[in-house]
Amino acid sequence: MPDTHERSDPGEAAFREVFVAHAPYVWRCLRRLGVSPADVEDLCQEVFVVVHRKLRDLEPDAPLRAWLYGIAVRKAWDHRRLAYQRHERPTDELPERSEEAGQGEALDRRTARDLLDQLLDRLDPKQRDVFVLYEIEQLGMNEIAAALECPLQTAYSRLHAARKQMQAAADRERARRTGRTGAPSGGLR
Amino acid sequence: MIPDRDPPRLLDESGEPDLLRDALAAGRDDVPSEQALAGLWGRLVTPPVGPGGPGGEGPGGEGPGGAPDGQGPGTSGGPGAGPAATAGSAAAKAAAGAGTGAVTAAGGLTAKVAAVLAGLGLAAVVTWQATRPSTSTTTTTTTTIVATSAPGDGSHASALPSSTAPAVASARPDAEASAVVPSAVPSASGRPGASAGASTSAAATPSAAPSASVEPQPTELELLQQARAALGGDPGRALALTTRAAELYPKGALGQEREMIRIQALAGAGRRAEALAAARAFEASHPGSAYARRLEQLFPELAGP
Repeated sequence: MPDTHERSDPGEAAFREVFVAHAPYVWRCLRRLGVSPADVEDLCQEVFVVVHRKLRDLEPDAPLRAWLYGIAVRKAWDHRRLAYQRHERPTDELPERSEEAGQGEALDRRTARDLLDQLLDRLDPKQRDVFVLYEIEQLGMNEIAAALECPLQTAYSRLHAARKQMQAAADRERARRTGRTGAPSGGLR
Repeated sequence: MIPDRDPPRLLDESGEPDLLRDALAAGRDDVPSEQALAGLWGRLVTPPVGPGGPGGEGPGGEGPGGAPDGQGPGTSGGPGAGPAATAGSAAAKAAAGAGTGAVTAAGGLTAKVAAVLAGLGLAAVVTWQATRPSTSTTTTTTTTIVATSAPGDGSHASALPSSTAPAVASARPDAEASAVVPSAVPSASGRPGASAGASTSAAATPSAAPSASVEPQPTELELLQQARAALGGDPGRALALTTRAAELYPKGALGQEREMIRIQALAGAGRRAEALAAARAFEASHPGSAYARRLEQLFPELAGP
């Protein structure tokens, strides 16, 4: 095939590389930060448009993940604000569908994910950012503080508070389930 | 009061099954499908549009609006190398950290997407218009992304993460059919992350696809690569190639891409009425497709009253 196009550009190669290496995780992160399935592709696109625009100016030794997730978190914030203005409000009660678990042993994946999102929805948004980046995206706390542009100590405090609340909510949910089914199930421990 | 090091992650704790840990694991497994990522990439990078080609029929804002953006990055090649290296090491790190099944699966997915991108992203000058009211963008912004990958130019393919190579092998069982992708294989193996990627996600793939069995039938990806390359100069050939792709892979993973090429080929061949009809059919059968905006650029009459 003849080469009818411009020469390959290392900057573009870098962008592709970042996309391929990180897009699945940015997408996942946006979902856990409360972006709906219907909106996640749009938002992910917005993130990578910013990445494309700014990647060249990133210092070579800058922490790429912190930078990338920082963009994603800010986009998620904007999105949540707009979603809130439109109509969507988190509910206090967990929907009944989280009851569908059923299978005895482990929660089926989808139910478990729904439950996770319900629990996350009830966190303070700033705590949620830290919790998601640490527990799911597995960033280091230093990276998280850099991504969120907050002091490291603040990041730790938020993580601690988020964990406490998530554990408590999970405990309540477990109790509710065992109460409903009448017999404690080892799988739901 | 700052701890010396990060506390153990909940997911890394051992012990009996736990509701919260199950939920977190499910959250971590929740990565988008290959098609979803390819669709996203398609929105960032769409086919090349030459002057006089199908794109020329789009609204005036497209080419001129995007050009300055595209020029800037295109001329300064040097600085890009820095981020490339950074990204490379990050990718290697991610691959090396792939300890659990979930992450391994995600790595495999990444590899597959890389293969699709390596194949389809032959070259692109692309316009993206953000007009969705649901996002933070309130005004219409146009961003042009220039992404090029010359066929046979190994530098581009080699820039992809190390996991590309095995996935490419799996995507293209007829390894000697084209010069585009195989060039990625040797260069990829030289990258620092290569061993990590191969050992985690896709090490089994090359051996599973014996190179001895040569298949004359082109892959869906190859057909569409060729069709896309022919769009500018020979729309008739592009059309024929998409027809062939539709015959060989009626339910292929790249159906939307195939249809987009076909529509542009029709327009490029002067068969605008047919192109418009096909575009309408596309919109009807793929409501909410990532390509809808692109079609509306090509055919302003689709944008509604």
